[in-house]
Amino acid sequence: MKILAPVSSLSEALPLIESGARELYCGLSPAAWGKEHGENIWLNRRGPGKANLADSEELEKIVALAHRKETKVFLTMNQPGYVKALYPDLISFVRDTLSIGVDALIMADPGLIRRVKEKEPAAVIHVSSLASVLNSSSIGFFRSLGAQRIIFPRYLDLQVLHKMIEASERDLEFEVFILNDGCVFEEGFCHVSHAFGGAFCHNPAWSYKLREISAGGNKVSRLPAGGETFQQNVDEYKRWLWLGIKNFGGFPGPGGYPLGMCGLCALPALQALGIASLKIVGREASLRKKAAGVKLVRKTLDLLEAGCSESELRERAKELKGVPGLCRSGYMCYYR
Amino acid sequence: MEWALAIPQGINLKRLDDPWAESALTPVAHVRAVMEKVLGPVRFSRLYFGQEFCEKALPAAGELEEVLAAAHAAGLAFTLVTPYVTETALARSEELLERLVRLAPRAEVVVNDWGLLYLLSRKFPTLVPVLGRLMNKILRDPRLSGYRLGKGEVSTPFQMSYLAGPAMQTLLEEFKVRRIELDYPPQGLDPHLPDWGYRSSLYVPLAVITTGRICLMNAWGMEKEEKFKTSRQACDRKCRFYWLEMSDPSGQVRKSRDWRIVQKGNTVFYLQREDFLAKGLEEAARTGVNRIVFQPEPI
Repeated sequence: MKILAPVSSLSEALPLIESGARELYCGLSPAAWGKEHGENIWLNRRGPGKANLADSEELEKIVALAHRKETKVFLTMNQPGYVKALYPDLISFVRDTLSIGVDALIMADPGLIRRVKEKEPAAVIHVSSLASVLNSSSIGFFRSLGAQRIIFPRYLDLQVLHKMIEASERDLEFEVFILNDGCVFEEGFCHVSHAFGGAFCHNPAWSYKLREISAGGNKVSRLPAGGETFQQNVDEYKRWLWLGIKNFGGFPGPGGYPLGMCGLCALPALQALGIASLKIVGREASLRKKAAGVKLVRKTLDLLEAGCSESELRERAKELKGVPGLCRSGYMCYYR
Repeated sequence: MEWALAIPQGINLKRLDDPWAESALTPVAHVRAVMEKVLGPVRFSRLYFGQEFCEKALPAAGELEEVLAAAHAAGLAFTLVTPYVTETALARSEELLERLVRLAPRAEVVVNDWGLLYLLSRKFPTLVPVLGRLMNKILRDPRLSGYRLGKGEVSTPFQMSYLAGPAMQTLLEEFKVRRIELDYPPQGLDPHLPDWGYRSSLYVPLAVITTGRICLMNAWGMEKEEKFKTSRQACDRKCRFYWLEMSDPSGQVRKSRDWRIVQKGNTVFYLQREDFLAKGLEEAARTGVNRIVFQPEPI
């Protein structure tokens, strides 16, 4: 299994590769795109700023460097859907990026995938988690469009992943999330934009009033058996948000490794499933956090490759992460 | 205008006898008054059965049969609404479609999952696919404001959808999709909706903000280690008994005269107030929407 790391500048590429990444992904936010289409229409799911590379020259240099180090570079074009006015520029953009050697394009829009494969049959397409590929029939749909890799959405448990992969053709690669950043809701079915004040769902201020449904004036409520009040449930939800979704406020653990969502304990199972690539989330994160994440996954993979048993690996991964109490809560686990 | 009455589960079947019965979530009488004021008398000619959000709430085949028979007896055309599904519920979805195709081979099926659309085209070609409202990817962000909102005859980028592009039109044509479904977004409907090339439906009075497989309501009463897990299939369906009114004291999501924000089960909606609802229905009539789906309970 290869480690796939986010990169948002040329200066990050070498340290990430030296830390153990064998695949890099990035986005591009060229000035000409913003000038033509405005600041609200983004080429990928991250806006102009530190998450994206500024220009194709920088991308070209990253690709050249990565290829010298036998590392592949993938480019995000992962909006769930692009309107037709953007298509001429998108196709031209695809041609330019392929010509400089980008190894694959990460996409979610089925129409764009179809059009790119028509225009550039050699383009390698990875289907983004934004496409919400949750079942084997959906894998079949995107395979029929010419996709070569499926990036599974978060929180598909190991049993479901096993069934999906078993039911699919063998000519596809599969990628899963391994570290950092959760999403409360299904990314591909979320109709809000982080551009309008951040994540709608992360907001810890949300207040919930429980309303009972009545039928003909009679309450039909049914309280849970354990006696937990709904407010206690909400308090626990906010704790889960803080630990897993908001990555413990971005603070690292005692060993300097990132906290938050993680799939390290599942590495033996993911290997048995034939997963090709382990994705570390966070293009906008600091290099320090990205490199620490890559090193953490690399160390855990080394243990696996050295023949560490599943239970031993689980314990060692928790030791590396440095917060066994939080690990035991399960609130930082992608695969529970 | 075609009118469809939507019920999420078999236990809501009594609404067929009295579509305007009170609802826990929706001020039905007010919604009816707005619909009739804008579009004239409402006469339901179609029943939508099912929901778009939760695989755990997929109906049993027997339930489908009962509802289908009731729709037939009431002289209503039938549409089965399906949610996004993981592999766990794919087989159950297929069984449901098998039952449907035996009983009503030309029924409509609303899909909110590319896999279910693919399944329909491969195994159930007589059923009529409709692309559900989770698939149009139009933003429904209550924070959209100012210059991003629609201004009449000129389409704004936030009103448009990838479905209107030639690539998606061709792809959906191959999958025999002729109808797409919409919510009324804060930025308004695209004034050029008729040029998209589909028939279209509008849901009222609830619009979907976001939905997911991790369910706050399902977690209530569970041991901590069991909360917020997707692998847990057991669900006691507390969403049948409760819903949540949401507010944001931080002001990131402001109170609005246009809607209230509510959560039912695993999904957050805005429930449209009268003036905003009327505006949406007026725009729907202007932009060629030819079906209104009245859905007082979404899940």
